[in-house]
Amino acid sequence: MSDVLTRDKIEQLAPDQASLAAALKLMKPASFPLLARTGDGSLIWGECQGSGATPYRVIVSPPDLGYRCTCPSRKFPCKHVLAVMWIACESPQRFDEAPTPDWVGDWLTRRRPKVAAEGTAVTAGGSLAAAVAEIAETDQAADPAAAARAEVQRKRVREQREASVRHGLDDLDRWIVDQLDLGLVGFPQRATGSARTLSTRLVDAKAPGLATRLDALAADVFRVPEQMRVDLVLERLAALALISSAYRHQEKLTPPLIEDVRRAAGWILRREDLLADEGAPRVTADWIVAATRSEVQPDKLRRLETWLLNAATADPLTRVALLVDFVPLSSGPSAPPFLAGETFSGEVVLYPSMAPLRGQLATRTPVSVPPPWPSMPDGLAVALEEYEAALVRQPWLDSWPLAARGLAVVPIAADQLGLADTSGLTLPLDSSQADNLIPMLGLEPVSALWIWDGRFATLLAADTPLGRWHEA
Amino acid sequence: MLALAGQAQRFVRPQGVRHPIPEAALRMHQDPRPILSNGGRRALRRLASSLERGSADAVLRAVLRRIGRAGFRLHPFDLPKLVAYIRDDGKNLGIAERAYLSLVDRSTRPQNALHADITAENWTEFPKGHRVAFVASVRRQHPAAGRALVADALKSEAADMRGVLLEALAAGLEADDLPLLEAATTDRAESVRAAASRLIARVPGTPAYLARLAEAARCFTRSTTGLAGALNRVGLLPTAEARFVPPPAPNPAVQTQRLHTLFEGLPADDVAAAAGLTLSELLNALPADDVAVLPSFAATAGLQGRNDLVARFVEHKLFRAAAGSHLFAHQFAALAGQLIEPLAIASAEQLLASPGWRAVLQRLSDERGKDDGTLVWAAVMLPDAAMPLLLESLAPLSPATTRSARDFAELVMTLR
Repeated sequence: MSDVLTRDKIEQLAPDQASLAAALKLMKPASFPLLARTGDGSLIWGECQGSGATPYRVIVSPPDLGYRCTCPSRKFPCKHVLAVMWIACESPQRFDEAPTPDWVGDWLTRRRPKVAAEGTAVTAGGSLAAAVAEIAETDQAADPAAAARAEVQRKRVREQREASVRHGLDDLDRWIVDQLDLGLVGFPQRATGSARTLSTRLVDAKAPGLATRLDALAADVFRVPEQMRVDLVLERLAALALISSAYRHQEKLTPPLIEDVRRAAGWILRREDLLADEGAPRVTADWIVAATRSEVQPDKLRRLETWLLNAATADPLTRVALLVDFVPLSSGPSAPPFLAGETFSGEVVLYPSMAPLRGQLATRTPVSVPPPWPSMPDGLAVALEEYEAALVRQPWLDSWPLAARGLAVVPIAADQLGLADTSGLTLPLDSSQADNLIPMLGLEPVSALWIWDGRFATLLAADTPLGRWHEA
Repeated sequence: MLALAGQAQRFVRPQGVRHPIPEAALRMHQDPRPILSNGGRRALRRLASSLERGSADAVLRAVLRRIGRAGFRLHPFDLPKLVAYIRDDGKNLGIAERAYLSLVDRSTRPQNALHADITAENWTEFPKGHRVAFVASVRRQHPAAGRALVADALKSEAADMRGVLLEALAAGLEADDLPLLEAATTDRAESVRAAASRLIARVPGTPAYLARLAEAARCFTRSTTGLAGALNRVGLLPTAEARFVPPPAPNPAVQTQRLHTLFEGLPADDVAAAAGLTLSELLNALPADDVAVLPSFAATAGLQGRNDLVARFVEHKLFRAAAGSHLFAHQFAALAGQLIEPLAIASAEQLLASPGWRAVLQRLSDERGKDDGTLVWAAVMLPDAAMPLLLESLAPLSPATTRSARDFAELVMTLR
């Protein structure tokens, strides 16, 4: 295994230097009471005593650099995985040969489709295939009665939540009518208190997605100029009303739109379920990490966004993928798991949607040659048509990534920059980006990727005569 | 109806009018200096993200100074994150940096970006750091001309600028400055009055200066104990070892502060002469853990443009530490930050071959820990030609431990 795992490879895999330094501190024998491997070293695992009661469990498949750790870190790989790799590289004698425990087998079972499809790890070590077969047998031997009982229990919980969400929607509908009765001009003054009260009720009603939208509305209304506030409130209330109505009439919706509306309410599709869903849209491509963004949410979570730009397509539906990680604020400062500007090859599994965007990274491998900047439509008009088409497909989306070439960053007011094309169309840029975008003044032509919310563009990445620019 | 109204509104396209690109923005891209290469940018970004918070600012300032001295400029896209480290370094502010600052900082005057060079005619239009550096450089050559520049500017500048311009007179203070400084002691701003008073105490030849110089010199005494002391007392050994005996203080923090105040602006040569010592004796008398006197001497030498002296102080401190088995960043980082030019190649080779350096490598190898700044600060002081030797020396250590120092070395190697 030490042949496969080298210091250079580990360093390349590390999301940042802080992770490497943190991994270094875990190299002490006391940090990993358990370190084991299969006979041929094609699989290694360990348990790391973290701050919690139960140890973090780490599995690494050296032949294909696959890994898994049970810690809550949003860095991939986390410091525990890096430490196990490092120990395997520098002190392989610390790993004892052992049969694969259940939790390792569990992971192998989930990886099975990928392993079989790619034909990678299986050929690298016979023991991996043997372990997969062993787990399959164990699955068959599981108690069918217990499985049935668990399914009944899950169904009951689901039904209870459905009823609760619908009660929450009743509250939401009444609240929207109240706001219209009170008048939208005065909404900003009462936004914080009024929206917060209802959002708490929606959390109780197990509709956290709607609660987050309400909290965001209360904050966003003060982020736009005063003359835009009523329009913003009107649009957001309209979107909430649409979600509420759509949720109650799911039988009339297409399957992707059902997924959209349920997700908007707060139903979650677990990462592992998404990755295992063979019907979910998958995009395999060379990706450019266009931007990383970090935002603190009202629910005390830090939302880390990684915007990926598909280097090989001009198709607006597969051009961009968004990876989102949530980290509790209490865990301290968190760096994004990717560096803006880096490139890699990989498969992204997108959440089913009428406007697929958010996804999960299923595989990631380094690219030997950085991919070129992708082809983009000429001018802003085509981009705005894409935005309108996305709105038609998924009416309550807040914003949508757009791309175009032949652009320039220009001043459009005293303290306001905009994105302009040669036809005279201009889109105002988010003023919080102004200082970062000033160096782009005077550079033409620019090919850009940005998020458009109907009012302001937030630039994510650009290809300019002076090289690439990335938001980070 | 609500949904329809809200949704219809989302299809309204924005209207905007394109204004002309400001002249300063165009000048930003016309700076004739070459832009740092992509390899250099990558190393710089890695370095900026891997530095320990405590030393990051000082190391980055030193790195950017190195880039500027090599004749390169930062990539314009890196200016938003890095310009803060050079905005007060007049020698590192080229057209691109000035143009950027004028576009983001409403308080600076945009015309400064249109001037290729700073002169006595246009200097007041430049950013603060640039103006201070200009006054200091004029002072070093023609003290009276520098004084005249400041005297004119004091009439129209805001209080904070009046204060820093007055401080810029610290280079080449002379008795002829007294009327201007004494007038400034009645300035309406407390900060300006304080700056003027400090400078008056530093004007050579004044009673205040002479009293301070005498007090500083009294801190250095010839040894009066042991055989050397006995011989010295009877006049048989006039060159007995000198010792540093600072005035008593209630605690080390207060003592450091008092020593800073006492030695501020005093040239090391003058103190040595007043104490009847050579400069070498003076330096040797300082304790190994001195953090006040040598940095003050280095700051004064820096003001005088005496990089040879700054380098001598750094080498003294560095080699003293490196001769032993303990070499830590905190021993020399403050001095290294004042180094205007890197050390000579012979000094670099001496450092990398010293027992202290070998002990550092051994310590970091045993502890498998992060660089406490010793490696990266050492890298900052080394000349370009010593970088391959440094990389070779670091090769046995873990890449995570040596990351910052290697990034610095790789960055410097792109500047060739």
